[in-house]
Amino acid sequence: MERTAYNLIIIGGGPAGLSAAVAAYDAGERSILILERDTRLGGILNQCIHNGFGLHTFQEELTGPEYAQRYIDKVIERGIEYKLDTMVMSLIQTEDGLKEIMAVSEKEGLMLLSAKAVVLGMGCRERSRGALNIPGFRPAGVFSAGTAQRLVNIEGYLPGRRVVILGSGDIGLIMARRMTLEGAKVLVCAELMPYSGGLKRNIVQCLDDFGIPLKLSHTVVRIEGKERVEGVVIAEVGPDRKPIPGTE
Amino acid sequence: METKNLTCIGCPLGCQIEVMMDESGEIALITGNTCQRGEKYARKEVTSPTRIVTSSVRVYGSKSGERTVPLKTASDIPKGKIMEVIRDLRGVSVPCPVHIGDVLMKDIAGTGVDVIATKNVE
Ligand code: SF4
Repeated sequence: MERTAYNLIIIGGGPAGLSAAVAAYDAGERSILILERDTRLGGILNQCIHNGFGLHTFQEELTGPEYAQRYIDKVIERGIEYKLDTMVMSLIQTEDGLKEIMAVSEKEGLMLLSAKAVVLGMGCRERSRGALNIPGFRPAGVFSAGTAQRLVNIEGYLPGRRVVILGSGDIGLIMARRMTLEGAKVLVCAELMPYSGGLKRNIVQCLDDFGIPLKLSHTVVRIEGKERVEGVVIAEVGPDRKPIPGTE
Repeated sequence: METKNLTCIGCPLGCQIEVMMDESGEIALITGNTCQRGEKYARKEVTSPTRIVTSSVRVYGSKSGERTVPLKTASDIPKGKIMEVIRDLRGVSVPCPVHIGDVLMKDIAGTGVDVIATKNVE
């Protein structure tokens, strides 16, 4: 199979990949390709529709998609090549010292690419329920905050009407507000640690503004329901972060 | 003297701001903010708190197959009006294409503020 050669291939067309492409172009590199598996550039910023982005970079307060568009425009202005809906299957070092990427897209089928350098801009992954070791069946209706965010903000679905949020990181807090605005009742936000991992501004404008209680040193010890989630049991945890019996 | 403790939402630092009010309810002293934005925020927050509201509505006729377009109030609106803004957006569906900054709804919930799109949807 014929390889198409580039000097630089960037995997991921989110904020990291886009700004890497722009920086490389501005430093003189012209042979650049961005590979993005989604149908649009911008990555996770597309679902972060809240404001607060760009204070440092642009000295204004933008929402995620607006911030992403600034970088998308820069990429398009520079004529940097990108492929959407394209999934990288493998990345290997070949004997000629190049990196070889195998990627696939519905439009172009299988493609073989080579690059002198590769930038990995694939972001991070959330911990799934399995990784958190919560006992119980596997009913529908349990989502990671990022999945819920995608469902509400991009797909236009509300994942549930009565909601408990486990964890008080920023996306958890932001989704507490988001789902309240979309008509859900957020009963409580439980946090295992004695402090929130989220920004204070998000506790103020996402929980306090809507009267959503934050229970620190609390965690979910059981998920009820077999087909569909019916409830959760929350317990207080001690300094060892283990649930205290009798506090359920 | 009455003191109010606030957390500034102006940036990720989240400064703890103390606002002292004198007997007549006027602001006497603002401390704890590290920048001007914080002072502005504190003044507003104790007198008439405001927020920028972000949400999304459905679109139709999108060539790229998008279902929703995100939006925001073009400037901050009274905090007490958040739910009214959201209520007025319920059931709204806009035709594509939509571009960043396009006005989707004028004078939402009687606030005098427009709701604008925050993403290009072709
Ligand atoms: S006072 Fe200034 S530095 Fe402190 S949180 Fe507010 S905006 Fe940020």
